[in-house]
Amino acid sequence: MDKAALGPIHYIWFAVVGTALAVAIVVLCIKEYAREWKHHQAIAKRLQIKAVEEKIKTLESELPSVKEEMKAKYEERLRMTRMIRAQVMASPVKIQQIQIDSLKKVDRCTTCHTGIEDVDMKDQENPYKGHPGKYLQWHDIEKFGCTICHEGQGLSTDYMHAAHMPLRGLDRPWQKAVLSKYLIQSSCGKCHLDKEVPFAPLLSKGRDVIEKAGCSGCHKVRLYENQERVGPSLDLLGSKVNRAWLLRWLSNPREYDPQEGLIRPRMPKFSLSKDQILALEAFLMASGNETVLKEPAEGGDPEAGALLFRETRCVTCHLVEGKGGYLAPELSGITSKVSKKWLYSWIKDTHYFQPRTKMPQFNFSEKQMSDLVEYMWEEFQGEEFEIPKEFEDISGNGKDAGEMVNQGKKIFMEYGCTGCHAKTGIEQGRIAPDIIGLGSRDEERLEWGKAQGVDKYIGNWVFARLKDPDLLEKKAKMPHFPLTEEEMAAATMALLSDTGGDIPSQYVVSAPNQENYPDLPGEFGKIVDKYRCRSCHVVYGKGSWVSMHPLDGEGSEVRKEWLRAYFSLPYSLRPILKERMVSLKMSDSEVDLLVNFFTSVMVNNSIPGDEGTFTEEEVAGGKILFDKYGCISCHIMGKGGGYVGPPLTTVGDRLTAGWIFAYMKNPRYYEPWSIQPDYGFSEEETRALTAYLASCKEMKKNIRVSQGK
Amino acid sequence: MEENIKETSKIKEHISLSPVIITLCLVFAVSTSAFLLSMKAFSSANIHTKMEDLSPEGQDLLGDALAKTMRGLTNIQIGGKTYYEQFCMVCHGEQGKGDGFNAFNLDPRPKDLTVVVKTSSNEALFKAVSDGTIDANGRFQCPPWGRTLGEDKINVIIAYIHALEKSFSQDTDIHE
Repeated sequence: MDKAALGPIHYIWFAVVGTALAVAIVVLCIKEYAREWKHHQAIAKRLQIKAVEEKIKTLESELPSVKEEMKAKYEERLRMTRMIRAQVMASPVKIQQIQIDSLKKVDRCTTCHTGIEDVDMKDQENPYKGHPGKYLQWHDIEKFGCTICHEGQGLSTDYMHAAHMPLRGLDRPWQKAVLSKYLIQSSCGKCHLDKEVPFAPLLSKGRDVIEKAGCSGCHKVRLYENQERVGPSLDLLGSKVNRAWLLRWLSNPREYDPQEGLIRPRMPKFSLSKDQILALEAFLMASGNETVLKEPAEGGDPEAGALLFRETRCVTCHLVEGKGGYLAPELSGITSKVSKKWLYSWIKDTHYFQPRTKMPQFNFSEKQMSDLVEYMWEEFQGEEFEIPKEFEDISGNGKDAGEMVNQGKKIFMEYGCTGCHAKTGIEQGRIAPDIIGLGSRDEERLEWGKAQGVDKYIGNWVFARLKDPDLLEKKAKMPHFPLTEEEMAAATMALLSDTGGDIPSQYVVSAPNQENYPDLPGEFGKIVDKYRCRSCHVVYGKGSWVSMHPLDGEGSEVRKEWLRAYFSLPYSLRPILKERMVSLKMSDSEVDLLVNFFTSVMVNNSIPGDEGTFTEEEVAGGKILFDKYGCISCHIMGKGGGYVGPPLTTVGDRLTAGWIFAYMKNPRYYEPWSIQPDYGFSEEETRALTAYLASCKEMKKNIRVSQGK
Repeated sequence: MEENIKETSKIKEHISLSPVIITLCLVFAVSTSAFLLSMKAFSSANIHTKMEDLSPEGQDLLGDALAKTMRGLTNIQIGGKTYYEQFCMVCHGEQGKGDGFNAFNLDPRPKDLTVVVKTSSNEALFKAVSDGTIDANGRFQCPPWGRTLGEDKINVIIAYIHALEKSFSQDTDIHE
């Protein structure tokens, strides 16, 4: 045996290693004993006991002074609170865990956040704080857990590894950090797939922006896979606009109509060179076909046109000098964009030029059309654009016309113009990458380009893309959208709400899909299509909510005579509304057909149509109730009244008694967006009010109307 | 065998036990104190302050934009804002000053909510919104919204009413 192997130095080494091992074991034990969460649980327990004891104290002090009949209730409450105290005191110190198999989540967050479900702990500091709001009442914590909404690493029980703070870089403990204040709303969108998510207005707004901006034209976006193109068809653009306007438009759409945010125009700005713009212009102008345009009749009367313009209420949808509706383009300065011939042809044959437009085909006579065109031509005179000098200089550049058109076509396809604009003969899929599951992309793998000073978080990446696409990528093809900061942030949040992965169907909340409702058949369908009723109204489940009033039960609601008069000359029912029914100038036969269809088919069978009788006393009683309930605050009646609801002075001529009764009983059942408060009237009160309102007629005769049930 | 015994006795002669024990004690003392010190430095209470001091690694574009446009409101208050604008704004006005579009048809004028919140408890506010307010003649002033809105929506509206003044004042610290 080697003598040196047993030399004294080895004994020392042995001693050192041995001690180190012993120390390591002791360290581990201490560390385990002093775990962060134990500390938090101890404090939380103290706080909870303190809160419960305070409650007990106040209950005890109040007990002698309560009334005799309440005493039993009080004692019961005291007993319950004492039981809660005993429960809290007996609760063991241990790791808490919520396991949800269907979501593949194991959350131990409640180990430190012990008081999260405790309403009394709402004012404490984190992690002892109770959850604000009623979110945990809506989403049972045992069924949903925490990280499905808040993100972060649920399994961890220490602050750092649970990813409470966003840590970037490769050594981050967990890819998705706990979402900050407002971003939490994006998590609602994981399961809530309808457009309006309750109590998450930022998300709802973001979804609206995504839809309006038409993101799905170029990207595959969850929920918007089958959205229609948002831009007009460019098939006959060459005969619509002039060259100078188009060049300016392609250079900078915002210059033509500068508005803040995503109102009008929605066309984004592409970063195109002058040569590219010229080529694109050559391609688009080549589609012109002068033969489809018709000349308006001579001698239009601008004054009659002005009257018609106001009567038709074009400003419900169109802007005039920045005022009016935001559904359709600005009209002032229209002369610098289109020719008079085109304007006339458009009004005459709207759906020939744009088969999918929201604008109705107005039923104007020849005379009315030429009057209207004459008026618009005088009133909305814009400056005459000249072709910008920089384009003049390089015009053509020696290339022949055919070559330019071909080059333009290439650019048209390369930049994905087809995503928003239809053009016959050009079909291509989405040109940009899919952004399904965008919220769970790994930040470290994204291209950050010039945005190096930015916190590398996926949300910032999306936001930077929307703000300035060139930040992240040189010569980005993605155009710059005219969004306000709020719209950009909201859209980003809505996009982040798609984190990929499967959400089990029992968690998903979604609205009925409008695609399931087909176009309407028959003569009625033809009229609905001609006047584009569904641009504003929901008709049989499909349409837009510009008008908050669905038409499906209209036949039971209004009187036949009133409906006929209204179709012939609509007026504004609610003075407060910006969007008002346009005057479509329907022909008599169309009005007949619509009135018959409404009163025979579009009825609500729960509302009786037969006439009943009301007594004089009921009418008088209704008048007193009308005064008592302050109806006049919002409705005009006689000379005075408010401007929120429709005027009721002649409401008996308009509405059926059955509808008045049914609507007052449950307003939101018939109009889901109605702001008519539900007073919870009794049967007699409703009857009396119905009697009074039904008697409010221009011809003050005694009414015999039914009592609706 | 003999040699071995000899060796052992030799070692015994060379080193006594005391320095080993001293070394052991020293090592133990040093490592324990080092551990206790480091435990203190990384104790749970301190991790918090340290983590919160951590400045983000760069500019937070989205966070800044949200803070700027939401003006320091909480999520609950933002939820309340939607319903406030839908149901209350028409009379009480955008800023709650009682100067809404419809206020000028009303006698008495709607109340200035920024004043009302300072003097009323949340329970009183809830009752007023839910059951409506009635004047001396028994006529309704503010209609009862309880059945239309429900408890949850009224609660968020009240949360927003509390934030009205802060939300519209110019010198609100939005990064709060």
